[in-house]
Amino acid sequence: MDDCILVQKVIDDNDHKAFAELMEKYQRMVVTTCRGFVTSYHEAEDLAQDVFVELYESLPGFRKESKLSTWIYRIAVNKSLNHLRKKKRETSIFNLNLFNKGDGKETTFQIVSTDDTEADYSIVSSENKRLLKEAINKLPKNQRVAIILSKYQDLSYKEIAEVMDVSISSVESLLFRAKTNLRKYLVDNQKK
Amino acid sequence: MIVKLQNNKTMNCKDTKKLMLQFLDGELSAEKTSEIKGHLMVCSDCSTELNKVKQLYGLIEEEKNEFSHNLYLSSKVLNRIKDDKEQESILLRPIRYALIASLSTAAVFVGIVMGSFLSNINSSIAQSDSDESIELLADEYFPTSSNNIYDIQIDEIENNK
Repeated sequence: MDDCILVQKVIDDNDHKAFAELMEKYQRMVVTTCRGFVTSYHEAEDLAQDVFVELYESLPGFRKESKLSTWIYRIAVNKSLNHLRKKKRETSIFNLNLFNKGDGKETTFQIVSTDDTEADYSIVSSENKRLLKEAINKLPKNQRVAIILSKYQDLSYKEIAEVMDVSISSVESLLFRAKTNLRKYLVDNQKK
Repeated sequence: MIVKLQNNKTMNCKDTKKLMLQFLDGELSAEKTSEIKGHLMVCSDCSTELNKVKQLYGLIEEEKNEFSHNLYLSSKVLNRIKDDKEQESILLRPIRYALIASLSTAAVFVGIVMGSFLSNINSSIAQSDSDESIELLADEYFPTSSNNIYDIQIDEIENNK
């Protein structure tokens, strides 16, 4: 069924079946977008639930001038950024508490050499994923959003421009800078 | 070893590194791609770096493919929406009761104030009415106007005397 009809059914009749149909349709898009921001798949799925709850609440304010997918992307991006901000704040409070306890223990990352065993490969792989996510999350906000929409969703420059509400040339510039910074971070931190 | 390319041009290390991710994404023109390829053939440093970056950058594709459709996601969300609404009504219930209580108290208070105000007005009106009626009665029995017939009669009697 067409998005507009489903949206109207949700707004007018509070039709949960119509909303479930929308969620089924956009589940991949939302989970994969959130996955670009967060470190684990489960975290992305939890975040996707928040995105759909917000979508349900905000549907009455949805203007049908833009596409529903653009609206959903915006909610997904904002939710993910807020989630990361909250998580960062919690982590800094947690670290502060550890510091105050003064147990003298230091947490260090162990560099594991690549062996042929499956367990070691898994550790190296997860370490690489952590590094990639760290590199993406170190990018300035606009560059981060642009690269996630481009790489995780394969959106065109025009589509990214619509979601971010910027010009196409700005998207080009953001993606260029994002890729330059990403490469630099990956190379610099892998050498350590 | 120097490899001769179509346009006999190769890129330097700085530009190759700068355009590495665009090269991996296949976003560069045929000319630039050829220049980078030419440089990678002769520069082991850039070639090694490309392989490292390719390995890490390629993880994005891996993460994208992690997706598996969750059949329960929509029902979880709908349950949350339902719970949120119930919670909202539970939270609003005491507020609603408090609002009703305070509004009825206010209504009673306003009623008392209005009642007393109106009764004051009424009593003052009644007071003025009774004053007027007393005055009228007095005038009836003890007229004060200048063309009072009694005054005229008294004047006439005195004059006749």
